[in-house]
Amino acid sequence: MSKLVAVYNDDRKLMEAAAQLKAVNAPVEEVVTPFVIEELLETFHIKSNIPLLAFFYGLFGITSVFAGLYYTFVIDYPINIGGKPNLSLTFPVLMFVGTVLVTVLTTVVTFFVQAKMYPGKDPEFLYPGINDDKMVVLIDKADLSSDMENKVRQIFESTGAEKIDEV
Amino acid sequence: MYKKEVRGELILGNKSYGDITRDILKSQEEKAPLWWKLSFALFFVLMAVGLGYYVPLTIAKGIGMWGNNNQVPWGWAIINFVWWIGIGHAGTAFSIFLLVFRQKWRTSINRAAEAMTVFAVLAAGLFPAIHVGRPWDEFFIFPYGPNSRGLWVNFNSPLLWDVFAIATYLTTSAIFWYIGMLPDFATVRDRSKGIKRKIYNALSFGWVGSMDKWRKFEDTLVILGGLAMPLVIAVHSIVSTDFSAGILPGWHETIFPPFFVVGAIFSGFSMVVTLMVLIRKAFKLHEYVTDDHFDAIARIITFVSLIMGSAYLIELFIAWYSANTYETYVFDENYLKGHYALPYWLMLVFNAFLPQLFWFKKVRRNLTWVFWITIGVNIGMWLERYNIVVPPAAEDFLPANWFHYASTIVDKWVYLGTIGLFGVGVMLFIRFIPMMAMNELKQQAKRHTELKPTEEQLQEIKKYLEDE
Repeated sequence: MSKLVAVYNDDRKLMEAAAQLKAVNAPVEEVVTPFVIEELLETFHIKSNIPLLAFFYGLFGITSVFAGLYYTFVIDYPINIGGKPNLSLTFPVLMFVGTVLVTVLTTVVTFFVQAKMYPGKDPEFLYPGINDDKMVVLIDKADLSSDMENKVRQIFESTGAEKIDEV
Repeated sequence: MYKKEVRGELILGNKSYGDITRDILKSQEEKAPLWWKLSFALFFVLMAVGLGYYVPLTIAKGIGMWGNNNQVPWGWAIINFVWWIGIGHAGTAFSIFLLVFRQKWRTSINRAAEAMTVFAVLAAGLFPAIHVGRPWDEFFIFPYGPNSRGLWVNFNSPLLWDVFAIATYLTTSAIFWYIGMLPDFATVRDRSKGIKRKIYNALSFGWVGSMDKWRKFEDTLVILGGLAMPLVIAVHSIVSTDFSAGILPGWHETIFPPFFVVGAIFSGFSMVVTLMVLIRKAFKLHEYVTDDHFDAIARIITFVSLIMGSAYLIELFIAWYSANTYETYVFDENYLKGHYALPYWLMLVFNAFLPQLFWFKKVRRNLTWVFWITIGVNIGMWLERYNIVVPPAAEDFLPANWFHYASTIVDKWVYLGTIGLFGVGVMLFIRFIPMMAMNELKQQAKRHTELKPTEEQLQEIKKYLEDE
């Protein structure tokens, strides 16, 4: 019984609670929802560095593919095709495709590593209905002073949480 | 922005989040209906005969089992390859283009379209793989280092680009599809027990919808989507350079890359519609795939059909304008009134004329019409590839060499085999994978509840009106 759980079934009520919790600086550990609620992520300033990393993966991809093409066609085995230059204008085609492939694979690996997900992993937290129609606010009781706990409970009650539970 | 005053509600019946889960998963949780078993059996037989017997036969005896000859080196195999790749473009076109253009109505269709992409690209990939004749030498295609003769593969060749482009496209679409399904697999996991739960637990990678995971999930999907969008254009442009880099009149055309990309989207959208009409009817999902959805897709198909029609006209015009004997021969003598006039005119009817019926609202909203017109487009697009692959090669520069093409029973069965593969894939998909993106539908439901006044607001309005 170390976590306080408030269960909502309406995202408008949840958003109201989120705003109030943020206002009193409550130590919200997690909000679990069955679908993405962008406003919620904004309220709690949730950011990810995946877009930035993907950009660098892309840079890595394009340089490595170009280097590969340059090595094979200019350095290692230059072929004279009707006197055309070896540094061929057709390179961008494969550079583009190769960059996409490299970026996609590395971005996906990053996603799984950062989200700590792998096949067969058991979910870290389960509560009936969280992948169906219930939205859950989780607060670790260890982080709560008794004063804060009262405030938080009051917010949950006033915003119309369906259930306040402890797990 | 989506304007529901113009386009109508996206999800009818005022669904709660729980309703959405139940409605979408009904197809999996109930016993398999008879039609499902019968269609699965039919597709399985097609696949077993086509891929289990005729493909090994081709490999064992050689490409001579097909109708290809010295004059027409590419026959049904390449026609089917381009046709399947084209259909495979719908998933990305739906998911990504409509995502980028903020077309919210994609939500209930994108999952099925993406599934279709994966199976269609698998079916497409089979053809080049067996067309090389000696599949055991295929590793030569990959640049694993200079091969035994000290040579690298030819990175200047469109055929090699194809290998990379299609492999990348298959990888990207499959990953995009799978990542999008993680939250829905978690939903299925939570609702099931025993061995089924174990399987879906493995498939869901331990998904929990925490804020951090949603953020990363959204960012990853947008990046994959953003990368896949130009890839769609690249892949089919590359497929078209297989032809346009050749010197044959009828192939050597600069219009080919955009023409192929548009054609791909055309056939892909049509295949999506064909499937969605059937899925909606079979699972009674008319509240999720509404008449407005079909209306919207039909409008796009009309627009794309106009582009196709103009492309055909431009081809004819340029052939005439070039005043080149060989070029004019292909279009005037061969296509319009010659040996290949029937497939050419059928193509024009199915691709350029029939979809114009969608200008009428009554046709757009009558699913029988929509179904048959889209079937027509799929036939028309197959014929278009036939017209590109066969006639220019059959009658080229030197009349003494002319030789016509006729497919053999092996050609036909390999094609039926890939239809079986596609069908088996789709059947398994509708039975074991949530066939609409539930998490996105719920987000959609959320958006439209936001637009509605709450109970209290309604009371206030009522009171206000009464006071007035």
